Amino acid sequence: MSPRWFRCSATCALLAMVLSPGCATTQYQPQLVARGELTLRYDGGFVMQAQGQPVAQALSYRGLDRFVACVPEAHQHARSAQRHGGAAIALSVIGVTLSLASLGSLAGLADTQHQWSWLGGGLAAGAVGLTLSALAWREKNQANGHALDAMNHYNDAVGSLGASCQDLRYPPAAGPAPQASEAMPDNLPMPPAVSPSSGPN
Amino acid sequence: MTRLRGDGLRHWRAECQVASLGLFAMATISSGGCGYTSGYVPPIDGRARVIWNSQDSEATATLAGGGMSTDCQGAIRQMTGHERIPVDRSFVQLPTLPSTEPYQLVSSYRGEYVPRYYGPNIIVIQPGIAPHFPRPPLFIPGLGRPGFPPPRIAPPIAGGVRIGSGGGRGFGGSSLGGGSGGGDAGKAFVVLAVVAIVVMPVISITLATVRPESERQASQAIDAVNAYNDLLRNGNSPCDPAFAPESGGAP
Repeated sequence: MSPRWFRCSATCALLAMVLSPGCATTQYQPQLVARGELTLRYDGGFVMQAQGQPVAQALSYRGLDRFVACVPEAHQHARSAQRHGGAAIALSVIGVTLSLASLGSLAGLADTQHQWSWLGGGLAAGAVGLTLSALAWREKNQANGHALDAMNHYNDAVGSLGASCQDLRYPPAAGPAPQASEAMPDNLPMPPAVSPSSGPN
Repeated sequence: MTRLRGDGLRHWRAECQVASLGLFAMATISSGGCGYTSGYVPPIDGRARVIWNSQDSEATATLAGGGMSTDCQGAIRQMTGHERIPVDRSFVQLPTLPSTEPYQLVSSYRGEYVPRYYGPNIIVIQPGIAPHFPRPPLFIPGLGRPGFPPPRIAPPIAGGVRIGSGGGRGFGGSSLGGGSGGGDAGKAFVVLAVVAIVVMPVISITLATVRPESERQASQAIDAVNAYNDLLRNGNSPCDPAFAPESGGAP
């Protein structure tokens, strides 16, 4: 086992970091935002904010479920986002730890008696670490997707209409919707009951 | 002789270990795919949104029934500085307009912005639970009216749109090649094993640390949506269908 391998692996790791896509952030701050409306910005991950204050951010999305609690569908998506985000963080940490630990098996090159045990163990640890990191990648996608769905469901029902879950009062409509005034009652009916078991994954 | 047989057995066991782990990894990953399939369908109400594009697992913008004239595209480019917008699974190249002054929002709103929506007044019946809308309130009053032209995105003045497929990012698989030379399979396998042990952490760290979404595309979609909604809410803007017949709105 020569130091050349270590230099090579360190170089590869550094290259992977350097060559990975650069950070892009949003440039425009929304000016006309309704009272409880959630808006997005991107700063190393999705950040949700309301009235200029951050509400939740990737990957944990902590606090999003409370903010959108009055919209059952948004609430379920927010909880899923938090669950998947937490799983992504945990899997990433374990995956990277196992992968780095597998490098220790290269010491087996000097131990000719047990070389295959060392290398087999290293390969196994590396493969498991890689699998967990790949699963973390999938969990990140799930977290982001659920979070965007939660934000959109919430804004559709509450945020973009000038209300918030903390103060669920809507401003009056600016006018009737075209053709809707004949078929629709003046006041909207109650929402259908939502079963807690019918949540998204 | 016994030593050789023992080595062969160990090779075979190690290969089986790696093969089974590889199969496990592939089965685990492929079982659920890498993306999230969103069931969200944006209502056609004229408010732009950032939605999750399930096809390539990226954030993208949707105009939800609104159109985008050339002037509107130019204003968005001025406001955001981006050259393109990911809209509905494609990209719209924003034009460079020879505009004299950057577009400015009229600061007619002091303090909190009160949204203007069209439809019945919304009454909360069950405290703490938002009402369900059989028909969504509209943010563009004419939207959905018979005779209201369908929204369209105008091609840019110069340069051609290009509307390409949404480009998701993926990781190319790295293939390990190696030939066994001279019949010394043991040495070749050692080299392969060492290469795998060195490469796997690099891929693992990359997968664990890099964001799955394209940061550039997400930023472009978010900026475009925020700027577009501001332009619509500001009124008398190039994105307002009432003032931009080209976009398919009211003349």
